[in-house]
Amino acid sequence: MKKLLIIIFSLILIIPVFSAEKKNSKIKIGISKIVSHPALDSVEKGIKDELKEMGYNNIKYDLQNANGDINAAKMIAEKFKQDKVNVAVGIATPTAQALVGTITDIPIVFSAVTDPEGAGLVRNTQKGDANVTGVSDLTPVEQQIHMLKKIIDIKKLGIIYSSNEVNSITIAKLTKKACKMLKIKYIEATVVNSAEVKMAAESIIDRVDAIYISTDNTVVSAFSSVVDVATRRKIPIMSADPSSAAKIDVLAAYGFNYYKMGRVTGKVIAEILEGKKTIDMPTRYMTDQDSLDLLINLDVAKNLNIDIPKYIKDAATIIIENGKIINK
Amino acid sequence: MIKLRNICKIFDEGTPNENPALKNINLTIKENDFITIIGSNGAGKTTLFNVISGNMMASNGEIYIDNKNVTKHKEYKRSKYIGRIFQDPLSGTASNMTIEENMAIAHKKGLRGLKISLNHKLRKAFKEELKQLDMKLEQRLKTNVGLLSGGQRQSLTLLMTVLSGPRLLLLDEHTAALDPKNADIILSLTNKFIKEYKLTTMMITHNMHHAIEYGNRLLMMDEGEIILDISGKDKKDLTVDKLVDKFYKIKHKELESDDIRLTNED
Amino acid sequence: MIFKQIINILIVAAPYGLIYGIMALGVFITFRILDFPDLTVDGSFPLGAAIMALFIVNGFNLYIALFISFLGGITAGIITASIHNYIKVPGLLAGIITMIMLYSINIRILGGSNLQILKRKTILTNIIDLFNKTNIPEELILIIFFIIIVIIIKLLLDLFFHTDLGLTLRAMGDNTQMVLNQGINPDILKLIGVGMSNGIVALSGAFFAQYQKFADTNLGQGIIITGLASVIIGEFIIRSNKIFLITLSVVLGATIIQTVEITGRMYGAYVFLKPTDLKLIKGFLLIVILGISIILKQRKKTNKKIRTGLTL
Repeated sequence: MKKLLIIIFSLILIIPVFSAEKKNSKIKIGISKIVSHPALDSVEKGIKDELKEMGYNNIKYDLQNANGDINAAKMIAEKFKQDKVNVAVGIATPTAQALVGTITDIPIVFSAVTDPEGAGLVRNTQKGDANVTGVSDLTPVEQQIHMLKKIIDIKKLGIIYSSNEVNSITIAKLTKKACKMLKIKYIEATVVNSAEVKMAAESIIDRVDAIYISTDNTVVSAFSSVVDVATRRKIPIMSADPSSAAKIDVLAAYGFNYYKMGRVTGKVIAEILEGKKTIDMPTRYMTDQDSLDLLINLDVAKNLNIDIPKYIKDAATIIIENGKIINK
Repeated sequence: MIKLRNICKIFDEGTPNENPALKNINLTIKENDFITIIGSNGAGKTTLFNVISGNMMASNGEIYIDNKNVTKHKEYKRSKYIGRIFQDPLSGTASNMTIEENMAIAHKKGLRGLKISLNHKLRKAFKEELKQLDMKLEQRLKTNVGLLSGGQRQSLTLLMTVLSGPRLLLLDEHTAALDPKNADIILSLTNKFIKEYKLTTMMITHNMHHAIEYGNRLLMMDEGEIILDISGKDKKDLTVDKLVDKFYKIKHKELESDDIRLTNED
Repeated sequence: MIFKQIINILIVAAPYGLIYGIMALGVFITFRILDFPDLTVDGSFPLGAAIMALFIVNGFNLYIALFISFLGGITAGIITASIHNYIKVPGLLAGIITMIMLYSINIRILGGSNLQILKRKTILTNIIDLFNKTNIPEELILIIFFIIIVIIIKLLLDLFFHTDLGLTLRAMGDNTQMVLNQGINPDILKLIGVGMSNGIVALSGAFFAQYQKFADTNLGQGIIITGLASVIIGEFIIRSNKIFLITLSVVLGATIIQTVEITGRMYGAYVFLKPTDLKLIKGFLLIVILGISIILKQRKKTNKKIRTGLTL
């Protein structure tokens, strides 16, 4: 009897020591992004800021950049697996796919993935998978095209995208649907890599009233060449990413604030660290109007002889005028 | 003056396939020697040429050209002194380039610079040189070498090699791949050039008649060794039968070679 | 109406044809002249682009930048030839090794996976500014500029292949033994030839970056195919043994390929072709052309045999 009591006592004493150790020991979070560009970098920052603000001071981040190389993405996934990270985060579809294909016993959180089901990350976005959940950046295509039509009454819309990015194909389909609904002619040009983007733009520029650039990583990498072609022909561009639009001459950009998406992702990671199971976590979509930014570049508008309606100017969250960026 | 001292060449040394292709060759080649070399297949004739030209490195021994030790020199370095013509008539020229371009390349030895190769003066000189071949090639300076026949190409190779002024000319059965008529033309041209330019020459041949008829010195090789070295009057008095006889006396076996048998019959 | 469309296609395709034509001249040197299959170009093309972009973004002298891009390419070529010469690796593999290493190097130079140069001064913007008082459209100014650049590079190459060194390079690709017989070390020739080739390819990349207004690591992906196809199509159109005509044919071949590409993109939809089908079509075209070339060569051979009555 005495012996039993001693054993029970020691066990009761040891348990808090263990959990205290867990709280004090470093949490390893691996974050893998496919390329470095403003949108994805903002997601990364959002995650870190959110977790810091929530009180997690003991996180060791392993920040990895695959630089557009699918093989590198796979290597990074292997590294996270070897290092036994607590949570593996994949920013953008290709890196998320690499994680899901390699890791089966560590929770994976994807972010900035347009079509998690289509990409094979989860079977159903209504609930998470055994070890996968995340945040989708399915860009509000219909809202974007609608906004564009409100600014200028376009009859023909051109889209350039990479035919080997799953998310781009999904967005292209949505664009086609939106155009049909808004009675706009849909014209597409596809590329296989960034070197073809300029020629793709040149092949459709004479047949469109505006060009739409979605979150396609290949086209974004070659953004300057699209702007060069469009500016010369005085064709406006609508971009899906306001964060990168500040540096490039697009007429308008309507889309997520990727930093905010990063913060939402940070919340998802925190829930997992607290013990929530991914299978109980459906894919999170950024549907909140507050998370959308509208950028209008008045300098570009002037150059293209476009008059922006006042109510649009008022609704804009970022205005560029005379080379200055004004955040409202 | 070329000297070979204790030259040995062993292939696949230290393995069960070990083959001593050249055994202790000692040879001095004097200025203006025109040496013909005969021997059965596998006697080591081509290996001897390879070791002299640097295509292969000797396993042992030294080679001297004009008292300079060239044993360790690579092939391209030795090419400055040695001219070699192979059996394949396509191997001495560049098919996709014209006759004048080929001659311009053979005109100099060694790495060269950015001077424009061909000019009026050089073309005229080439034309004169080509006349010696008596094949009307001087009228086809701008023709691609690839369009020439085997005999014409080998003649051109011969001319180009001779003009580059080699200290030693190595001819490795250079008429064997040609039809009899062309072979004869090449041989008489060879003889003519050697006399005219006073070239020191070594010629491998399977034709015993030619070996006896041409040159001032004859070497017979067998199993990696030089078993016979005849010059002067002894060579002049040689006949094919005498040669076969001598071989038997030295080696106590029949001189075996289909080619030798065949040439013996005409 | 159709005439106008054709002119439009040619105007769009011309700069690509000329820029890639420069690259094709580089590929021509290794593949045809030296008979050295060199895959380094997939890496040296973006290398030239990356170096140029880096200098532009930092405001350095543009002509020095161009020269350094050229030197970068030469260095890449020398590395490939050295791996082949001294580590005794087949040329194809040596080129792949260098190409892979260049991937990392390019990322370092770009400071990431891409670099945008949209609003910067480039050689092209300077040329356009120079002629901006005249009424000539921008596209035409650039086409004329590229034509001049291509002519300069082409003529320099033609001249080079008539020099002593140039002739020996040509001989080496044809018959290495001949070069050995002349007392020349073929290793040195390979360093010079492969180096020069990649220098020209890098130069092409530098112009490409300025035309596209960005540089990234994937610009060179599969560019060897474009280069080879240009050489093959060129040989098909102009058959000659004169270097002057051969180099011309390479540039023409490159222009034809880009014309096919832009035509496919603009009008492919009418024949139910998507831009993604273009690669299949290009491959098909090459097979047909190569097939015809082989048939013609066979016919020539049998005719010659009948004429000379000689069996070699």
